[in-house]
Amino acid sequence: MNGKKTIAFLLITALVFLIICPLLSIFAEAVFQNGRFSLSSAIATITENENAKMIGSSLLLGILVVIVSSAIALPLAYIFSRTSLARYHFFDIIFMIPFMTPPYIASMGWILFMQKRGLMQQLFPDLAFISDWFFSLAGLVLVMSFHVFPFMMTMMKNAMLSVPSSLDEAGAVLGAPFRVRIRKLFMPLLTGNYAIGALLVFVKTISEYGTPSTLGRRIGFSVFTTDIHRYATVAPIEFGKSASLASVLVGICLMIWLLQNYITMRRTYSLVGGKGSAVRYRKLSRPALVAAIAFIAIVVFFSMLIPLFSVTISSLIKLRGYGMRSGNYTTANYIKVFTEDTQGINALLVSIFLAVSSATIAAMLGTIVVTISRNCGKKMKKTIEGIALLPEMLPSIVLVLGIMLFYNSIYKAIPIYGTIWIMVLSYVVLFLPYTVQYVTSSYSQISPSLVAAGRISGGSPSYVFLHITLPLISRGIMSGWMMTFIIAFRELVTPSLIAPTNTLTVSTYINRQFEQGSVGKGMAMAVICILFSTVSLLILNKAILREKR
Amino acid sequence: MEIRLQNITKSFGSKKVIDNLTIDIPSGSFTTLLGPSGCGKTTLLRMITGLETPDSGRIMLGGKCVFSSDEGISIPPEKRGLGFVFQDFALWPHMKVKDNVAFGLKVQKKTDDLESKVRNALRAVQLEDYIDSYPSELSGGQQQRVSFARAIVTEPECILFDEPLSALDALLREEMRSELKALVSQRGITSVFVTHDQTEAMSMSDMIAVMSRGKIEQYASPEEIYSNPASEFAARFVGSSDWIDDNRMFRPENAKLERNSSDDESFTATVIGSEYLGSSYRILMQYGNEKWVIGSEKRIETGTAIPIYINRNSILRIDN
Repeated sequence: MNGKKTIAFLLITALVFLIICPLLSIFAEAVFQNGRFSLSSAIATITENENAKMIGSSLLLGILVVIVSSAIALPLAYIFSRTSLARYHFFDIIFMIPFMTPPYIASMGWILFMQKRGLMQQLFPDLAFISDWFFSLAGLVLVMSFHVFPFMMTMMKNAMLSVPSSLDEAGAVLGAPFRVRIRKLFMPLLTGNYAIGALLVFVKTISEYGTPSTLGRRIGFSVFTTDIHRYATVAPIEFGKSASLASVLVGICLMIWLLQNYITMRRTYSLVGGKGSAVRYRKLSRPALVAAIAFIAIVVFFSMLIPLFSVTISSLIKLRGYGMRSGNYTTANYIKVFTEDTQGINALLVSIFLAVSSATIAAMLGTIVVTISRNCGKKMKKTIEGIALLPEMLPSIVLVLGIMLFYNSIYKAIPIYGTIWIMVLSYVVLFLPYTVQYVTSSYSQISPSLVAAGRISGGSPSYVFLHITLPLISRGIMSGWMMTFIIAFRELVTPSLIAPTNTLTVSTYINRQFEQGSVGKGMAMAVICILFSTVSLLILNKAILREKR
Repeated sequence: MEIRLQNITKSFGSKKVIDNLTIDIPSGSFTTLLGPSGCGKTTLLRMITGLETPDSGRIMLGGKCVFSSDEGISIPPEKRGLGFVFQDFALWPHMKVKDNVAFGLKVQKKTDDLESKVRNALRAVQLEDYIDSYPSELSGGQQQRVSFARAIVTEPECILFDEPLSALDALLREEMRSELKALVSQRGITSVFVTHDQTEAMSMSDMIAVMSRGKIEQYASPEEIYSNPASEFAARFVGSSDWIDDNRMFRPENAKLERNSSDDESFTATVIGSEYLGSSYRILMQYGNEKWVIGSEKRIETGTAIPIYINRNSILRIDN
C-alpha cells in the first residue's frame, strides 16, 4: 500500500465513522432486540394501524406536492427560458426567496395569516370560510409546494434552455403547428428531466420536517419525519419504533435515488451543442404576455408576500387581540428578544457559534475529501464521494437520529453525547455535501495542465497545491463555507433532536415562542433570521461575482 | 542537453500506447515528434517531463538518468529542470503575467535579479507592456507568448512543446512558428516539439520522428523523410503521395504532362476534376484503383484520358 492509498483509506475510515456507523445504528436499533436479531418488532411497528396510515399519508403528501409544484413550476420554467420575459434575470434571485426562507418560518407565517381572527380575517372578514379549508391536507400541500417549486423550476428551466431553438424551428419549417411542436418535439426531450425533478421533489417532501412539524402538527397530519421525531423525543420514548420508521424512509429514498439514476441514464438526451444551438426567445402576444405576468404575480404573491408579510406584521404587533390597527404597532418585540431574558441573545450566539464552527470544519473536511478522492484510484474515489454525498440523499432527521443512537452507544469512548459538540458534528455531517459539490465543480474547471506546469517549473507537489490549486479552488471553498453557514444558522432538525438541555438555537427559540404564545417575540427572531440569511447570501453572491475572472 | 529514451514501454489499461521505443535526441537540435492523434507522441513527451511514468525502460537527460525501471529511479518533474509549453497555454488565471513568468524562478530559488529576468523574458516575446495584466486580458497569441516566456525564463537546457500552436488561428500560427524557432535556436536550447501538422514539422525541425501506434516509423531530417520515406505510413503522412501500386509512389510535383527525358515512364490516367487554386490548378485523376492529384498550369476537361510522365528516379519503392 503506497502513501496515497493509505491516506485515502484513513479518510474512508473517518467518513464511515461519521456517516455510515450512525446509519447502521438505526438499522441495528430497528432489528435487534435485547441483542437478538428479530424482524418481528420492526414489521409490527410498520404494520401497526396508525403507522401504516401514516406511511400512506406521507406518500400521498409527496405525490400531491409533486403535482401542485409541477403546476406552478412548469409554466414558470417555460416563461423564463423561452419567452421574452426570460431577459429579466432578477427573477432568478426573486424565486430564490421561498427556497431560502426556512420552511418552519413560512408555515408559521401561513398559520398566523389563516387562523381564526388571523391577519386574513382581519383584512377580509368575508373570506373566513377559506380558513377551514386551509387547515387541512390542502393547505399543507400548498405551503410545501410553495417552498419546493423553485427547485423544480430551476431544473426545468435549465433543461429547456438546453434545447436549441433550431429543433423547434426545424419542425416549424416542415409545417408543424405550435401545439404539435410542443407535444412531439419539445416535451419528449424533457420527460427524462421532468421525471428526475419530480422524484427529487418527492424525496424532498417526504424528508421535510419543518412544515409538517408546524402546520402538519396543527392539523393532526402525521408523516414519517414527525413520527420519527415523536417516538425519539416524547415519552414513552421508543427508539425501536423510531428506527424502524427511519429504516423504511431510508429504503424509500434510496429506491427513488436508484430510479432517478436509472432514468438519468436511459431517458435523458445529450443535446449536441455547437454553433447555432442558441435559444431564441418567443415574442408573446399581448394576451399571452398579460397572462404570463399575472401568473408570475400570483405565484410571487402567495409564495413570498403572504408568509413574509404575515411574519413581519406579527413581529410588529403589540397585542394580538387588537390586531392590525394604528397604535398597535411596536418595535418592542425586537427589543424584548434581546432584553427580556437571556434566552434570545443566547440562542443567537449558539446559532452563530454552530454556523461558524460547522461551516469551517465542513469546508476543510469537504476540501480534503475532494482533494484526496481526485488523487486516488477510481474505486476509492467512488467510495469516498459516495459516502460524502450520502447525507444529501437522506432525510436529515434520519441522519440525526443515527448520530444520536450511535454516539449514545459509544458514550464511554467518545463522550460528546449531550454536549454542544454532538451538534457541531451533526451539522458537519449534514452539510458536508455542499462543500464537496462546490469544490468538485471548482476542481473540474482547472485544466490539469495548470498543475503540470507548476510541477515542471520546479514546484514540489505541496508547493503547487498551496500556490496554484488552492487559490483556484478557494472560490468553491468559500461558497461551500457560506452556504453551510447560512443553512446551519437556521437548522431545525438537529437542535430539536439532540440539543443539550436548556440550549436553544434560533430555530428552536422561534418554535418555542410561537408555541408558548409569545408570537411577537418569535416572529421578531424569525425576521432577524431571514434578514441574516438574505444579507449573507447577497454578500456571498457579491464575493463570487467579484472573484470571477 | 542530449535526451536518450531506451526501450520505453507504456500501457493504459490493456492498451499499449508506447511499444519498446528507443530514440536519441541530439543536444541543441529541434526535433519533432510527428504523428496522428493517439500515436503516443504526447505520452512520450509527458514521460520525458516526468508527468507520466513509463512501465519499463530508461530515460537519460544530459547524461543523467531520470528514470529507470530496472534501477527503480524516477525523478519527479520538478527536479528535472525542463521547460514545457502546453497546448492550452496553462497560464495560471489567478496570477498576473509577471507572476506566471516568475513562478519557476521563485520555486527554483533563482531570485537574484528576478525582476530584470522576468522583464527580459517578456521583452523577448514582445510583451513587456503587459507585465501587470492578467492572462484573461490577453489574446490567444499573447497568452501563448507568455507561456514561451515562462518556459525560457529559467534558462532550461531543454524545452518541450506539446502542440503549442494548435489553439491559434492559421495566420497567427505561421507567424509564431518562425518566432518560436528563433527564440530557442538563439539560445541553443534543445527542443522537442509534438505536432500532428506536417507543414509545422517540416518547416521548423532539424529532425523528425514519424510516429504511429506507439512506434517510430522513421527518424531522420525532413528532407530525407520526404525524398526517402521508410514506410508507407511515413510516405503518406509526410507530404502528398500518388501511388502507382502498393509499393511504388511519386510526389505530385514530379509528374509532368509532357515527356522531356528518355528516363521518363509514362502512365495513362483519367481526369475526374480540376480545382482552381489561383496560381495553378489541382487536377484529380483516376489511375486504376488509385486516385492521383497533380498540379497543372491549365484546366483539363473532365473525362479525358491523358499520359503522365515521371522520371524513373522520382518513383520511390516502399517496401512494407
